[in-house]
Amino acid sequence: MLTILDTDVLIIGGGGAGLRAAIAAAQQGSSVVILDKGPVGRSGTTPMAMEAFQAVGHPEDSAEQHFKDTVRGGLYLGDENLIWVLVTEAKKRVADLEKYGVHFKKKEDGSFDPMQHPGQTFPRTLFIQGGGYGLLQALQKEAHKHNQIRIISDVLVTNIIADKEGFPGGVIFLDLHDGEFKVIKCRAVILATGGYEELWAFTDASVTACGDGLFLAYELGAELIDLEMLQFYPTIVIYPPEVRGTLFQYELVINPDLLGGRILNGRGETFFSGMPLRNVLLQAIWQEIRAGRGTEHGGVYIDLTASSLGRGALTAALNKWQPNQFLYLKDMGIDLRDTPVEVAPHAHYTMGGVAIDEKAQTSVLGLFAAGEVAGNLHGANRVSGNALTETQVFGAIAGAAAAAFAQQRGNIDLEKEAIESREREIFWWGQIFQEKKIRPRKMREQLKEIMWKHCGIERNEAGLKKGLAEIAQLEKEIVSLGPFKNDYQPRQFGAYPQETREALELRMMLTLSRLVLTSALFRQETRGHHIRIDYPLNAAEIKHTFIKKGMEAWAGEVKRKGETNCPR
Amino acid sequence: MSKIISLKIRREDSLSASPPRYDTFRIPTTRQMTVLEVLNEIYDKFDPTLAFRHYRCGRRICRSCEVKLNGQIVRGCATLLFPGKEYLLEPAHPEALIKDLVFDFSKVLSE
Repeated sequence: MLTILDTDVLIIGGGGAGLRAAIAAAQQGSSVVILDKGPVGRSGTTPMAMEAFQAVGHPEDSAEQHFKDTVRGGLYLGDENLIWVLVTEAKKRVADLEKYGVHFKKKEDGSFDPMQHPGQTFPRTLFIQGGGYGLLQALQKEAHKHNQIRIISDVLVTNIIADKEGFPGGVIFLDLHDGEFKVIKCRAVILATGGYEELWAFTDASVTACGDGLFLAYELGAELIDLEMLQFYPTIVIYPPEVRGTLFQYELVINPDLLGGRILNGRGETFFSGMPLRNVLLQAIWQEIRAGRGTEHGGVYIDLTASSLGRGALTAALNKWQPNQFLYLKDMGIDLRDTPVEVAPHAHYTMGGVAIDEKAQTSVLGLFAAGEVAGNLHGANRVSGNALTETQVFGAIAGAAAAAFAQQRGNIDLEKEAIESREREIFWWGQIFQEKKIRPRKMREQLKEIMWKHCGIERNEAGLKKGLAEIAQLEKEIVSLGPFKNDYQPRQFGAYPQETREALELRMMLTLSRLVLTSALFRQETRGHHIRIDYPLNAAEIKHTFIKKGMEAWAGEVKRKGETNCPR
Repeated sequence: MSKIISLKIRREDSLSASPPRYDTFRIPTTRQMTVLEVLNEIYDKFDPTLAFRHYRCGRRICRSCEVKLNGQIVRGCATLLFPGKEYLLEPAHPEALIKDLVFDFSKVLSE
């Protein structure tokens, strides 16, 4: 296998967190390589992100209040040391973004014009022009100003290799341009791969969100945390099929000052009041669907046809607040001003992930994580607007910390055996499906169905155990395709080998599904988006669920910040 | 009543010396479908070697699924194909081709 590069900091994932980390590491003088599964700037979850960036911008608001709202919104499961970092660094990262050319919506006097989303004591959502996509273009432009940042698109990382000292010393990846496996040596690794929503059948997230970073961290021995915590976005378009999976922001719909619309059940009735958090609206919608009061295709309606704004003002508001969604649906023949649209809860954001500390350091020295891939920030529910803020705050921290770590290290020595032992496994995954004419995507769909059915909106012990058994069965079927070959032949898989990529993604998704099911079984309570019908109440003690390779799941302390006095 | 969407696709592998060829796929459907939906259907049911970008940002903004449809560059996620019609699909930027409809964004000069 060809070693093509040697770098200080290697970043897996070129979205908001990865690019911000690259800029920070380069500013410390480190050489940086970014690897991404797609074309950087058009890949990952950041381009799908809405315009919301949460940071203090209202005169009466404060970092302390942002902290309290985030702790409370996460049902007290978020680590408070991390939340404190998030809220105190947010405004500095906003200033950076403005320097990079990101435009936030401002008032005529030049001050920020925050809007109020559910769970915010004061209006705190700063509106990014162009949304996550706009943010990403500015970050990419800024990254290009640094000669020591090298961006490599269209590659799938399959392994992180520890060097002789036991620290991350390199990665193996599949280059989709020529179908070859290659190696890059490095002195520190940052995971910025986003979430794992792709494990579930119904999701509005990116097809790339297979949880690669979690799998890679797990295999290296890092601790993963609260994997059962999956956020369902309550209002994803489900019909017609051409636009299935499109997110429409309920936070804007039900706000009388923004879009002035309603959410109605299948009978045209309202069924909740006020501005509920996502987990609260999820439960309300789910109850309507379960009780047979859903729409024809099993959802509820977003209805703007009787908007309190009136048609002229509604058109202007749609163009202002949800221009991409509005125009996209309009192109597809759905005019929200004339027709209610059917929506239902889908997998949207994974609060669980790789456990980190305030320096974005994982439990494996030299391995860092930033953005959605990290696990202990949001708790049991993520408040609207904190995701993009997280990418910038923890991306910058991870970049600086990884650069400092890398600078203490000399030449990297990777053992030949360490690479060769892994070659056998990944070449096997890469070719066995083609040899046996089995479609990996079929198995991926089976896996997604298992997860939706047994580890979806409602969970219980019997279902989760059944899910584990069905995943084990799927793994057995794959292993029985053929023995791992000891006399493997290293080979190329040709230009853009989509099926090989899917097989290697399946390898990661199978392991991760097992870990998610195990974590969901371990948390015997209902909290936020984790709804256990056999344990419908909050547990008296609030604990993290930890899991790591070679160990059973265990309960760990949630870090508290003494002086906050948040009621629990 | 099921009708046919007929799609002629330019196939070429940048690593192979073979000249480009055109494959025609006939997709039975009862409804309009996006270009991206049809490509997924072909990949699932007819040809696992067809290369295109599966990514969808859900906001018709990222241009990852850009293709040339009947000579016009369009976004695959937001462009509808209708039963009973025939279409020609080519890579949006053949000068940066990797395979079939997939090209290397970093080599597109107009970017």
